[in-house]
Amino acid sequence: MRGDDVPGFGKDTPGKVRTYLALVGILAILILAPVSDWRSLRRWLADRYYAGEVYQVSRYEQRYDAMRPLLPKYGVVGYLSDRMEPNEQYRLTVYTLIPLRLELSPDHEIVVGNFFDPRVGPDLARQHGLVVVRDFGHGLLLLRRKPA
Amino acid sequence: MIVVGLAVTLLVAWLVGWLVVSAGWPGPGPSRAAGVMRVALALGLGLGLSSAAFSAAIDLGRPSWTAAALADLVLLAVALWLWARRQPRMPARELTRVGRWEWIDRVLVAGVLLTMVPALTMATVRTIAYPHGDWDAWAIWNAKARYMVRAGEAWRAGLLPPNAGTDYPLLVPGAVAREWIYLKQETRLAPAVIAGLFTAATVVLASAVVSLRRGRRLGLLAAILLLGSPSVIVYGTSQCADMPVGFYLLAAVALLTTADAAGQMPRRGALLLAGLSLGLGAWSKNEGIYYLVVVVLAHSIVRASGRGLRAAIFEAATLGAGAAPVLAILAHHRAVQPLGWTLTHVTRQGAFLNRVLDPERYRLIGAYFLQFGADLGGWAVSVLPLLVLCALAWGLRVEPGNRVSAGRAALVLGLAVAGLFGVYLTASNDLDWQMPTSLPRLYIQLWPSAVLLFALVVRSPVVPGDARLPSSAAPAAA
Repeated sequence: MRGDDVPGFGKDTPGKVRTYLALVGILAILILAPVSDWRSLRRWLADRYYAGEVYQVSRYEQRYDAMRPLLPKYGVVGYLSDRMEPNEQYRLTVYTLIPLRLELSPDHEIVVGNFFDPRVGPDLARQHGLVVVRDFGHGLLLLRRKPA
Repeated sequence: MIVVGLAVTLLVAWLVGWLVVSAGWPGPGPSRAAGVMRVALALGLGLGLSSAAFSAAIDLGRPSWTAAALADLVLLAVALWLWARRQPRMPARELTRVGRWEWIDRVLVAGVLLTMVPALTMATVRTIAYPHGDWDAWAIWNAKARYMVRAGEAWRAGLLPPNAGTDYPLLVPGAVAREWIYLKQETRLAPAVIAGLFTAATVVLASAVVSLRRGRRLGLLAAILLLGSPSVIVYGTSQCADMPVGFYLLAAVALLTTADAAGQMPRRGALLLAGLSLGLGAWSKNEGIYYLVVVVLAHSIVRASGRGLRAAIFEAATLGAGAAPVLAILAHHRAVQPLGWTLTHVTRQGAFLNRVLDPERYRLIGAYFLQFGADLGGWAVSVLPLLVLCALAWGLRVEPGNRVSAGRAALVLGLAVAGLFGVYLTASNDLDWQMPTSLPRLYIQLWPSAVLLFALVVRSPVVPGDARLPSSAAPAAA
């Protein structure tokens, strides 16, 4: 059977050296493919998994378990933090509290307080005219606007 | 029970895809590679169509089990109608020739299985460790799915700022939300399985189309190249839309490649399916809109140069007709809730002309393209030089029957890369932040189609002891 019967094979057949070079190419791919996957897996385990950078979202969801029943089911609530930027903690809080919409602003009747430094939370809330409804610990506060 | 429910609803999606693909399929029936290609196409197109129909249904009403079931029933009815009107297929021998199994082919099968072990291990471990997906998955894609399921009629409010990715389309969230609504439970299994299916379908489709057009040996090598790319597994299990949009681009290029060997009537079916794939790509991610333009443009150029302008216009219109149903859903989605475009927003900021004329930006963007190109797929060694060396060792040759296919695939990839370069050039975002976070995922969208192009332009490698060598004493195949 000559090459012209098979897709990918021309009528001209390669020489002996060429066939060995072709084999080297195939073997390189065969060896490097699983090696690349194993290497990537090993690196990921070292850099992320063993460093504890996993199950983060699940942990964050649990963090809000106690607060969720006290929040309205729908609508918009505010957000107050000692780092008022759309960072990972803000995004995680948004994801966790869906379908509530969370605005990156304390100018709301009900406000979720999420503080990197738990000590500054109550003071910061007071400065924005908010009172602490409940302190869930670890910098997580449920805040409400102080009656005028 | 959840697993059974998930399997049934996914099977319904696959059945829709199978009927639609069978209706437009240009190639042979009995060939194994063609059969596998149809199975993979059916999976991706079925998932996309069921998601698009679900999104359309909840756009008209509200997210509910009834809306999901009605959408699937209508979709099944339309798919059955298309299937009943399908054109006769061409005989198998016209598209594919089956060679005998050589020792190296058996080694390659073992190589595929061997590479699947770390790939599946990595996919499983990552899925368990990130049940909500990567950052973008939970911040954008799964968040949208949650709004669709939890917010009732107000689900669209979840697409508004300050939520992330407001202008992203809804194929992936729709597919996930459809499962959650059917199962009446937000199981983490649904987005993980959908992500895994798109990844598997991409690998299988690339391998099958290469097997069909270039033979089994290169088909197996294509599978190993993709399975051995850690980035394919990483983005494939991330639960984001990069693998789906990459799948739909590959599907379009693969269908057009298959159509190049088909007759006139089956060709029309393939063009419609390719257009449908491009439409679903546009409904997956905004890059998909650009890929749609690129494929239509590339196809028009190769057709105009070969068959004249009239044929090119007709076929471009056929591609557009295939994409039209999904583009209508996209257009309605954008019309109901104008969400703006992140790209135009960032492009307007600052002086557009200054950026285009800034040589430093060209240097910086070029450097990032080279840097991430060298790390394409995340291989242990740079895969592009490896492929160049393989091409030199195996020999470069585009078979006459594949010249149009290879030219179009090269044009698609060239235009895609050039367009991405242009986007980075004009976007005002900080390139040192934006390019490392976005370019690897854009490359991975193009990588499966690049593997197909590679297989179209190299010779199938002949190794010592190959029965195809004239000196071999092996008996000829029947």
